Amino acid sequence: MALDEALLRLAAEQRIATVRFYQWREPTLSLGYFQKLSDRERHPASLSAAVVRRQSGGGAILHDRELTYSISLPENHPLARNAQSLYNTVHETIATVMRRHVSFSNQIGLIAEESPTSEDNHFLCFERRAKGDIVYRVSAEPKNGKVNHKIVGSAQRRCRGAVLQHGSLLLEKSPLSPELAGLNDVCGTTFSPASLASELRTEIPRALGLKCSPGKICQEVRSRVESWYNEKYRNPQWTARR
Amino acid sequence: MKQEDLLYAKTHEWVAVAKEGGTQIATVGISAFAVEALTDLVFIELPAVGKQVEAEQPFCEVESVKAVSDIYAPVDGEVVAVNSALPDTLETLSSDPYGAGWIAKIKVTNDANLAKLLDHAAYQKQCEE
Repeated sequence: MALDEALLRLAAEQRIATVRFYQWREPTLSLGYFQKLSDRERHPASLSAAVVRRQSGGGAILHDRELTYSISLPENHPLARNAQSLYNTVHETIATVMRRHVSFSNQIGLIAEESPTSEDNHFLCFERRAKGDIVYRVSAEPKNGKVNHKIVGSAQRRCRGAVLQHGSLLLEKSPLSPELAGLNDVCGTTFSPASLASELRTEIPRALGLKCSPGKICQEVRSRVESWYNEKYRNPQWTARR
Repeated sequence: MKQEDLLYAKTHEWVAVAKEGGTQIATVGISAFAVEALTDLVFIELPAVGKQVEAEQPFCEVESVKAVSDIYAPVDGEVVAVNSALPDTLETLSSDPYGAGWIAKIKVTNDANLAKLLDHAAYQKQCEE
């Protein structure tokens, strides 16, 4: 989280775009920026997980058996200005990569319209439905009342000069969120986080018109990361600020 | 308020300045252009009345279905009023962004900030770029 915030500032101050993929050392619940820490009581299965608060909005994500990405774009990028355009472009790219490897590729798609507001208040991001989310559509009779499984969700943080988009690609059901099926569960695939990241590392920059090369974290960014990691993201006051 | 009569920050806040008892009060909101770009708004955290704010620094945050965004103070000053009805009527940010969708009133303590703001024509040009 601290690195993503540092990359957002880098985009704002130096107009450097970054695309990053990562996983978590231990199962971790990331709260949306405005969510209350006490709301995690609404999801008992994940209470044993570590917790952190994101800069980006939306619902909580249980980071386990998934792939996390972040994209930081300076404001002069053509897609930086409009939230939905960036969301859709990245998600269309991810969906295209996923479709290459599944048998019923037409069942993976983006939600075309906003869902009823009754779903907006779910604690978990993957229980919510918003325009542009990637879902696996259930073709026959819905099981457990679900007509689709959300497999990718994203959220943004916007500040002067740049935008950060966070997202999660849910690959498999976690014991800490057993109600959420992942891509491999519903498609019978064996995607690993590394294999998906390998393809997306090429495809997302291409879709965004970026010439990306593997980069090392410079000292300036590293200093900020250390500072924000210790003073903010590891700080219980930040986590419990709401 | 007429859009043409307002001043605008590059970060998409609008400002209407009025004199009240010898002090300048800036009413602040966000432009229709910004509201549309953010998609559907779901939450706003208003600043506290009495808060000292600094021009070009975040003083308020808003969440849409897709994003959390900073709203920047267009002037130095003190927040003297907030639109307390707004959190429960967020749709007014879309339906009446330059009227009922106002966010806060700031007592201006530095006139020089106002000179840095854009007029309507300049702001429109920025949005079209």
